[in-house]
Amino acid sequence: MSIAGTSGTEVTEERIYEAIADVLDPELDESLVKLGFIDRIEVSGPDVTISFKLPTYWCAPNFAYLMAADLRRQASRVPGVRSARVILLDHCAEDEVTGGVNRGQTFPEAFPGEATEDEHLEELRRIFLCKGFLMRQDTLLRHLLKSGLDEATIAALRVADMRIDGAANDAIVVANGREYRLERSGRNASLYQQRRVALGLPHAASDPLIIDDQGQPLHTGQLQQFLRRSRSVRMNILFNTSMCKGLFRTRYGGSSVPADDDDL
Amino acid sequence: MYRTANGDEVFVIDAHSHLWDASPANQLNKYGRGWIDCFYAYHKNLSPPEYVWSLEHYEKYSPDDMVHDQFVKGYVDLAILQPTYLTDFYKDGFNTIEQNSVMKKAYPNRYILNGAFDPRDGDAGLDYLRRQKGEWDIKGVKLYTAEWRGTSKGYKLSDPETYRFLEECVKLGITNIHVHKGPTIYPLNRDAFDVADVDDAASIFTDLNFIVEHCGLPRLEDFCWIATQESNVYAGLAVVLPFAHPRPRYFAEVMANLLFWLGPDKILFGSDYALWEPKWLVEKMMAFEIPEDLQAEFNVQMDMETRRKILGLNAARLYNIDVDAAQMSIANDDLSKKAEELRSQPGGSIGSLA
Repeated sequence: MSIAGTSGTEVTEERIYEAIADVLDPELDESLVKLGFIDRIEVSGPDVTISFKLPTYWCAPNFAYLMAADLRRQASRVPGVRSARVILLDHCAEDEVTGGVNRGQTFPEAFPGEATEDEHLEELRRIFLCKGFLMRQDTLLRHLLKSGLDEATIAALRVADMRIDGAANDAIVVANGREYRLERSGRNASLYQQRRVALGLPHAASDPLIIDDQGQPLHTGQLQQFLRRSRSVRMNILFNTSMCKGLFRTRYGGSSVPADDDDL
Repeated sequence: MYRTANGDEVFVIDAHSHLWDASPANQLNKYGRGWIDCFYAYHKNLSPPEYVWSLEHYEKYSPDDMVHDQFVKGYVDLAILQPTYLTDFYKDGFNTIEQNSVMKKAYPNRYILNGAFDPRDGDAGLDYLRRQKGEWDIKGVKLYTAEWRGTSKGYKLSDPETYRFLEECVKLGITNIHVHKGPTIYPLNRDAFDVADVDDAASIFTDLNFIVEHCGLPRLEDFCWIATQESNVYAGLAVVLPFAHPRPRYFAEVMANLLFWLGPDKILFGSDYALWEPKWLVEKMMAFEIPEDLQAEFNVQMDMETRRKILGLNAARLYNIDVDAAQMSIANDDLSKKAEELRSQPGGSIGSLA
């Protein structure tokens, strides 16, 4: 139980931002905070209200519900928080999403007669976590190839052969008796690991570093085909991200997206 | 007609256009407002600044505006009118076949009029489809699987009811099924843009052509998987092509993918007017080159033949259009003359937006 003024369990906007830092837009595999979708966080003693916005009035209610529920759950876990409320703004299903999530309802309860099975939207979440996993892996693979590792070496890499240098935002891979530094790839590599774990895929130190979405390792000769698919997924997510960011900016002020460097 | 710097002429079919009325007077509720605002954001986000319209004009433009933007200014030779009903959001509908037919009546040689059906309309819907065929001899329909209808938020192409209607299309000779996936869909907990139902329908109705508008975005890679397996699945380029303006590299990646997975014969140009104006879109398509690294990786070309196919020949094939005959019938009409006049003015010529 907190009293305002005691720093131990005082609820602050900052702490809420930290707590929701990893809440994703499932389609874009990116944090809502980083995307700029969080409109405002209001802290009133132990009670928190988070308002968020989406790129269009029509963004699919199922994704909106996942995001809203995740925001509420993460904020609720912050020590000192008594209640966490989420408000979705400017959306075709804002009442149902806001009302349903804040009452702790499942998606079908919030949208009676309009949803079937997958009560907690876990299947939906899984599909998109998987896409995020493939996207991150694609970036990692290309970076490994660019660094000079060949297909056989890559296939032989274990989870333990990669570590993250957080300070430099690099990933470091040990192979062929030396270290390969993948510059500015640290965050991506870290997210790759996180998605892998979230999907329940094998991730012990001795497991292969590169696996498909079923947990199967890469076999020699498969790399090109693998890359073709993962590149498709990555390109689509980045395309969608660009579209959504642009629409969001157009909707809430600012002109259309300037052509800055692409991440592809 | 697009004419290149060295005099080559490219026949252009705009395979996706609308004459809509989204004016406040026609909006039925907040969804009607939300709908056109969303369209406007797409328009504004992806159009070069000199092509951005005011919201008021965007809500309701005139037949004259449309004809000018497509045929005089826009290099378009023929255009397909694709209805979108949305009668739950708009009093008279957003753009029904009846509304669109005004354009067909005024310019019969320029427009192809498509119809629509909604499987939730049951027997009455089948009758309506037959009447559309009877009155306008339609060769294609546009389906909006995410359209709301009372308590329903959408349907699937693979629903048994939809199959009834697709069977009727086969009987009636309505061979081109343009599918538009949309925001919400039933059941709401599913991925709203899942394109798997297209796969199911296409593999059963092999006599029909399924043109998936905006390439199934945002499920582009899933769409490519399906389209590569089904010989009767096509990609409509609306929403993808405009990206050539703000994000040329992304656009290049998507095009390389489409050409790799689908090939040059299964991609159709469409402006989705008035979402975007055909003029700058056609210019982008003509100027577009695939970056070398993508050419190497995907082993695809963007040559003149490919441009011709995408810009007109693929749609001509699907709609059994004799291109020579069509060109002759419009060569000296009012609109062609105006287009030539515009072209001969300084700054009115080709290639202004490479």
